[in-house]
Amino acid sequence: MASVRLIRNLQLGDVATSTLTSSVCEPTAAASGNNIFVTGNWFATRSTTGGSNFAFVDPFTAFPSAAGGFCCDQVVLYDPSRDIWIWILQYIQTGGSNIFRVAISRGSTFGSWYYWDFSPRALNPAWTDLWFDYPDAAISANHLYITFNAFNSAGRFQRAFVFKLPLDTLRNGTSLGYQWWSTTANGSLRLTQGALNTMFFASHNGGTTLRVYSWPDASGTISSFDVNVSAYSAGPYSAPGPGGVEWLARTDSRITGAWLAGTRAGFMWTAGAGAGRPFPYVRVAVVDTVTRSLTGQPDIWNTSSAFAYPAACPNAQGVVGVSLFFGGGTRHPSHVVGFRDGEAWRLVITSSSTHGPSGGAWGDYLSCKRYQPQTSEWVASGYTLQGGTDRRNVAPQYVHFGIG
Amino acid sequence: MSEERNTLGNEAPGTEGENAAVASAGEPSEPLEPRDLSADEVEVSPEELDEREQRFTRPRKEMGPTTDYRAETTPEETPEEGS
Repeated sequence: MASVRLIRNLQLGDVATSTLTSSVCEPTAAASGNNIFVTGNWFATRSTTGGSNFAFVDPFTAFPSAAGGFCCDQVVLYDPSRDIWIWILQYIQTGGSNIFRVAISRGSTFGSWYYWDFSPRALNPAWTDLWFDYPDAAISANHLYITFNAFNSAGRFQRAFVFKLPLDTLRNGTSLGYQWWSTTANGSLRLTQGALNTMFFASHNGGTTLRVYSWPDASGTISSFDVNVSAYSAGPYSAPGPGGVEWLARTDSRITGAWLAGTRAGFMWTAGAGAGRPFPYVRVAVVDTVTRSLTGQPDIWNTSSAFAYPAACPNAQGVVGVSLFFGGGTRHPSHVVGFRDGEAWRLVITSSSTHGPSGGAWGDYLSCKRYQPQTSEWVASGYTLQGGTDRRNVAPQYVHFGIG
Repeated sequence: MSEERNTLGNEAPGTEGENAAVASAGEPSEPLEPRDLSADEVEVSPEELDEREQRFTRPRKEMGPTTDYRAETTPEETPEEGS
């Protein structure tokens, strides 16, 4: 039986984060050899020593300010095909609008960044009351894809966006022409990690229907098909841990993990407790992208604790790696990583919280990416609370793991 | 071990779709080199972040168009009918 091998399992301390941490940490991580970059609310940190030490990078001052200033919701990726680091930052909305920034650092000059800004008004001058929130990002053979939700100043959902940026231009640092598309029919579009010639992404389409979109690298046309999954509960979510401390107060059923391996696309989200599932769990829907049919639902669930906030990525052999949380019952929120092994999920706890969060605040996303250059391995982000419930007690986790 | 393998064959379904728009973000900024910092060099104050934490940990925003949301309907005012 295969097992999870933790190659590097690091809890990031105050030197790495400068205590610019939040209970809604949203950490992401990427790695290329000894170079590592980790982001979260509201810090960034990098290592050039394989994680032996980290140096704090201040996202508030790293770049000139824009809109209402740096907000949150960062994402970092590493693209091995162009040897570039991609750092996405969201800025605060002011006057009904904001921007997101895409910063690039070449591998040869890791830590030196140039960037482009993107605003709703640049896409449509009439969009004066629209701001970006909740990013996701993934790369294909030749493009960086980015998704965002967009809200109005009253905080109501308005539309979802997908951006498609050519990786060559990002690497070359020249004038950036790009494609974009938006929809009012679906939100929280989740991109598949591991895509090559076509990017797939999906969203709930209401009820038990998934809408799966595809956007070929070589095309300007976005297509979609719908797939039905088995009934699941979309909440309310609850999995109190020791002392009755809740950690799922913010949880909803949006898709937070997605991957593509060959002709199989997988989508994961947190489902509420239901028949045969005494705690919230991770619903996994695997779809055949050729026949457009559901091929399996290998849920991740447990009889004594909940699973939530999954992220996923296939390694180079198509084995699906995951990063998610596990908690409730006798357990405070813990971070776990692992992979799909035939008909089973192999998971290991990387770190356990000593406390549950205040007010049930936890989430909202994690990351799992292919490790470079050993592409059979993964790099994942997580976090726990260590020694208290204050935001300063949040300890981000950097994990490099493989198959033992 | 999973039987799934990456191939070059993940082509899109042949459904009719929607066309993307094109745009330009222009030239990038000049390269910047954010410094690796120590904790005492951080400019945002802990109090600012504590206040931000209060706002940040509220319930999440909508994940998309909700099926139960309908725009408020307000009847138009009309002049009262005379007797």
